[in-house]
Amino acid sequence: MSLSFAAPLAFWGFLGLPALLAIYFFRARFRDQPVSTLMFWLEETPPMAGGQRREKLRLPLLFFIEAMIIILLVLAAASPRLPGTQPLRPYVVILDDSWSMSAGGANSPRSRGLAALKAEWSGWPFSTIRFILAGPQPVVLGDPIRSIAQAGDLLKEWRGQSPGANLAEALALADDLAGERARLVVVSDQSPSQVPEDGRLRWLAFGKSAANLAFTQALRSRTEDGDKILLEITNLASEPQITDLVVDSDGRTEKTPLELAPNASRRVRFELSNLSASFSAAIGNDGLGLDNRIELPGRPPEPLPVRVGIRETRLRLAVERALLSTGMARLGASEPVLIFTDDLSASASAAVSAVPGKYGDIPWMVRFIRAGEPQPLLGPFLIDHSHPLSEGVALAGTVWAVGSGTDLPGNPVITAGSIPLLSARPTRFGQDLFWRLLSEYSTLPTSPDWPILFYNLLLWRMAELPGPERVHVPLGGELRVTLPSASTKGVLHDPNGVVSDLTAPDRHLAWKPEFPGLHRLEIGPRSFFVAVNPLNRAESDLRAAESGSWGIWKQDEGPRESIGVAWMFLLPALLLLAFHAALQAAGTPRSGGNGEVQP
Amino acid sequence: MNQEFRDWLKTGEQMGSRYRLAVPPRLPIGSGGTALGRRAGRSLEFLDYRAYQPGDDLRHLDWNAFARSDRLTVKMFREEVNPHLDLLLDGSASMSLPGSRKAEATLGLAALLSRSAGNAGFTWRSWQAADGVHPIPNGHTPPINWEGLDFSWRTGMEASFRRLPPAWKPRGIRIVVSDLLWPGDPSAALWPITSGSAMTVVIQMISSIDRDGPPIGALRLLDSETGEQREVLVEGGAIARYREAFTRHQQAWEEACRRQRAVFLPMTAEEFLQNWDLRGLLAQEILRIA
Repeated sequence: MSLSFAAPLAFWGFLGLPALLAIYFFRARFRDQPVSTLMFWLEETPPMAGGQRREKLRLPLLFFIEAMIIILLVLAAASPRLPGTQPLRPYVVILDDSWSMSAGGANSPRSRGLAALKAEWSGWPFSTIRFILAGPQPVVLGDPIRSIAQAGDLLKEWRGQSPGANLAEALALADDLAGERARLVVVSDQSPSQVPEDGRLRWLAFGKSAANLAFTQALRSRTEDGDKILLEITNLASEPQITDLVVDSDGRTEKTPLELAPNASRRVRFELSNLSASFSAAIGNDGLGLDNRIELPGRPPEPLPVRVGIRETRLRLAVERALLSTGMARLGASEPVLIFTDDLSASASAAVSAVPGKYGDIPWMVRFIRAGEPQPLLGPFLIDHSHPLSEGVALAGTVWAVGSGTDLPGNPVITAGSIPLLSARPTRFGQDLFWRLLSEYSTLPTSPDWPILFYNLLLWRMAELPGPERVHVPLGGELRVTLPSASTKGVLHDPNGVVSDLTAPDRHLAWKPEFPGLHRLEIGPRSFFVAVNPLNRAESDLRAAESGSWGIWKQDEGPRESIGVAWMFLLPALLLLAFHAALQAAGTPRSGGNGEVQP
Repeated sequence: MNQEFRDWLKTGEQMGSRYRLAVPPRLPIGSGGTALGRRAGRSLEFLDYRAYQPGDDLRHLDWNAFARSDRLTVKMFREEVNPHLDLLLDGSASMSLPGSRKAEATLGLAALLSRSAGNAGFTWRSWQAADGVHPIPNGHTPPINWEGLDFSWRTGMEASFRRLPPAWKPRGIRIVVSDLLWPGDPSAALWPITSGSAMTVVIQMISSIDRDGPPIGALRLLDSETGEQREVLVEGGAIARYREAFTRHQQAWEEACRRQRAVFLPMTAEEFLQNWDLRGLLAQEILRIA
């Protein structure tokens, strides 16, 4: 085993040896001292070092100790290293996190893959091991570990509940992170698309082909007649399967036998008149239980509380009629989230409460501007079709009369040429809308666009209320969540009991649930239950799962990592220093208080 | 003789004007002495009374005391003596040890003692031990006139006495100033000095280096008399051993002086010269304030 030195410049320290010798030479020179008689010095032994006589230089033990200390310290400073016993490399383990890895319960591909890893990784000549979780996006699990004992905490994140596994992207990430010298291993339930032959990648699959019945679609949508529910059950097997569909809704349970042909899907529809009633459905247990149950919570209808404070009678009646026609507004509310007014005075604005109401939100203002000489406008109307207010608005053949006047604040949504007719100005808590309209000279209030505009407004307002946009989302999907303000946090309780904060700099965040099941969101003063259902036909299809091993790691001699052994020189140096100090203390005379040397 | 020596003698002589040498109790009694001894003699100066004993001279009976007390008492009178001082200086090279003030202290003390002797009515003679014990030219005159002083002899005083012993006056006071740092039996060295003297005072004049030892370090010790060299790593243990040996040597001289009824007085040159400390001589009643 050869010793190498990482800092050979430290060998300049050996110049200390001749310096030490010089110190002893000069120190040992004697100075003349006349005395009255030598009769009292006859018994003193001549010193071993120095002197005027020519005799061999005899150095005291202290010199040799000091020289050895210098040698040891120089060698330690040169950073000595011994080569390691075998080549050490970084290892990267890519873990398929798709939910098919959970099929089979205790004997799932995930469990068997983990057992296989534990059985073999203690024999890996690794310098570090890094874990990458391959879901729809690859995620690096923590920092690289240097000992197996550190793996346990990281592997708790591997749950096998993702709606898919992008292994190709995960491999590319592993390559980027660990470099050419790394050894890669994929743990999955699928075979590789291409057998690895580069000597760096091994692919381990622990899947087992199995038949599976799964929910592959679940929708709940609201209509005028109530909520309509659509369920799709798919037989991901090559033989027919029979199961029971058990539905729980509104306090009642119904069981319906289902027979599905191989690879066939069955759609089942339900109608619920109780809009707030929860709905859950389950099919029989099979190899993968994750996709055998769905939840579709209800969301009680909540007309938006609106206040119409328009003094002009015709306009007020037209606005109220349009709001009521949508079925989404409740007029005369004490804590409105939308206020219509034609009073543009400052006092009117100040009268609006700036304190969030029970929705945890500040009301939007819609201001009708009626001042100025009437000016009927026939178009052409320019509509910002990307704006939520303009969905379905055409204004064909509409007369829109406005008072002559100034520009509107905010961003124009509808203009007539360069004349802004309807604009929206974002505020800290929402929007202020400005609507120039002289209704008595316009045909707009009697056109089809009038109720559309109000319908769009109410939808927009509803979407901007704090809370989730929906109460059910497929696993792997995204859900828009609105917070009361940029500085207000939401709280998420996931099905595993973990609590986390939700924040968004602009009040809106795209929440991507990681686990199936019922989640609870606390936003402002309100709580929402959101169901996350695993609905992915490809992931539920276990027929392609297989077990096997592909690729081998090339057994070549890589560069060896060396081990620092400076301590092997430092420890003896310290011991010699202590011995040196002891020798000096034994030979040093004590000094009296008056400077005289005393025996 | 160099001017430095003369200056030291002059200083010592000046310091000696305050003192006078004391007459020892065993000085010889002679008729027509110039000084009064401590013993009873036949001078006219009354000394003391004592009880009459058969055989006493009846002419010395104190009849007045008899009349008062009905006791026969005899008057005693101080003797008349002829005091002389022989002052011997060690002329070895160690007495002028480089880096010490031994030479200065020796000459200063010698001049002081000579002047003190003169103040007390003594005659004196100064001698130097070198290749023999030679009288110092003009050594019987005030110290400022002394000549030929030299500290360069390379053996101890014992060898000097063997080479050429001095012709000292019998029954005189003999004061020796030396560092006594030569090997040999102190009794044998002291014998020619004390023999025939009324009182012998041996003043060991040493330097602080002689007393304490050299400084610590790697030293090449040079014997100032023999020229021998010895390299020694002087450290605490060596110093301790040196002092022990020195003390033993000093104690041997003290014992020898005691046996031969000489007064032994150690003095350190640097301390003596600091304030001309003569407490030892005064305490031994060798010197008195004039």
